[in-house]
Amino acid sequence: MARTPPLILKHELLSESEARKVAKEYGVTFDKFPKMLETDPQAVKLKAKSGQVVAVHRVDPTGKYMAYRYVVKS
Amino acid sequence: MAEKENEFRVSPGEAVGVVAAQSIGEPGTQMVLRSFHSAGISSVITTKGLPRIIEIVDARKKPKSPTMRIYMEPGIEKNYEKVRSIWRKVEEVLVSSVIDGFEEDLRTGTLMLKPSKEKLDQFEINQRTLVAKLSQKEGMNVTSDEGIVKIKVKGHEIKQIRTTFVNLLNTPVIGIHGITKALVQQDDDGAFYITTSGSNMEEVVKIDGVDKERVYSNDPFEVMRMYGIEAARALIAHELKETISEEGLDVSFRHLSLLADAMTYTGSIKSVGRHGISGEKKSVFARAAYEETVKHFTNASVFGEVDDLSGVAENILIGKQIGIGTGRVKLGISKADLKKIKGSD
Repeated sequence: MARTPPLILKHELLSESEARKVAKEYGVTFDKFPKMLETDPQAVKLKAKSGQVVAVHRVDPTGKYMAYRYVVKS
Repeated sequence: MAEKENEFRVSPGEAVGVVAAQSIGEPGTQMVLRSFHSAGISSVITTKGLPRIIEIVDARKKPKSPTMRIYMEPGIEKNYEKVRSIWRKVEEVLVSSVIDGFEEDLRTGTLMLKPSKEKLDQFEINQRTLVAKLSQKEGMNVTSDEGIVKIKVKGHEIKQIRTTFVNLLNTPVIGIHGITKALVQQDDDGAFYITTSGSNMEEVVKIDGVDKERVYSNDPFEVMRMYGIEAARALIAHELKETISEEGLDVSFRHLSLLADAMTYTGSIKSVGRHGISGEKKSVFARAAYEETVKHFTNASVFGEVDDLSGVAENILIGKQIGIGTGRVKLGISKADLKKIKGSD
């Protein structure tokens, strides 16, 4: 088996203005974002509360890109 | 450059899900249907082919052959002795596998174990460790002699005593619960790592010297609990890709990535199918079009559900134009402009 990829990706908590900018860029409201639970280990690490947006620096065979997740209560 | 990049972008309204489904489905017909186990001493057995794909996509709580890959901290990853000592702490050795035999006396509730010197040496443990481990259990009176361990159990019922005995024999002396086999292997760059049969990330990260951020397990739920939903998403996409390439087939990563996205959209892992993604669609028609048609229609009529016909499946069903590709956009006209047109004729 080939070397396994790193599973933990860099997560970043966005401020409210940054989050709104991202939502505007995609032309959607926050509830249309992929979700992330408040109890998620990475959300806990960032102390993210529900209603905030977390940016994920994804790295995969197609390249490097940003993904966003909207933190919700479980 | 930016122009060139734009050319490769997917156009708005493209039915990416359908393309992904077809792109995965077609090579899937060529995969082996049998869950195939290769024999060998050096390799850890893993499920391969279509059974593994189904396992991932169905989001099974317990994979058939869980496996882990444990990397060491950078300081010790090239030190074989240190890695070996960690390996000792990983592989599970049961009481029953270090003894030559045992005698049980159900009347008095005593169990006599005969530890085997050879077997103990093989796992680099001594009788004292064995005794210490057994003494940790509650309600036991453990006495040890040369080559013999005597355990007295409290309780009167024969059935209860017997169960305790069986449990005792299945107690791990060393190692982590659930790891039936572990192997030290070496990478191209000289770094050692451990591959295991069985997965238990919670326990592995407690061992000193293990790189806590880099433990790899092929169980998505375990990864989700330890590292979060994004890690689980990366794992699902990677495991799918790996399983498909092992069969000598090639599916573009973006399709698998999309599937992984769909499965982890809600923040936890959802299966594809009637209990997961498809079963939770908003539209009654879309759900009925998939499986259990009558059930969905009766439930919908009993509870007075409304279908706003916004999806694809429901519009195909009633013969309306579907909202993908050029069907996605609608034309609008302002009232003022409409008046102008009407006024002109």
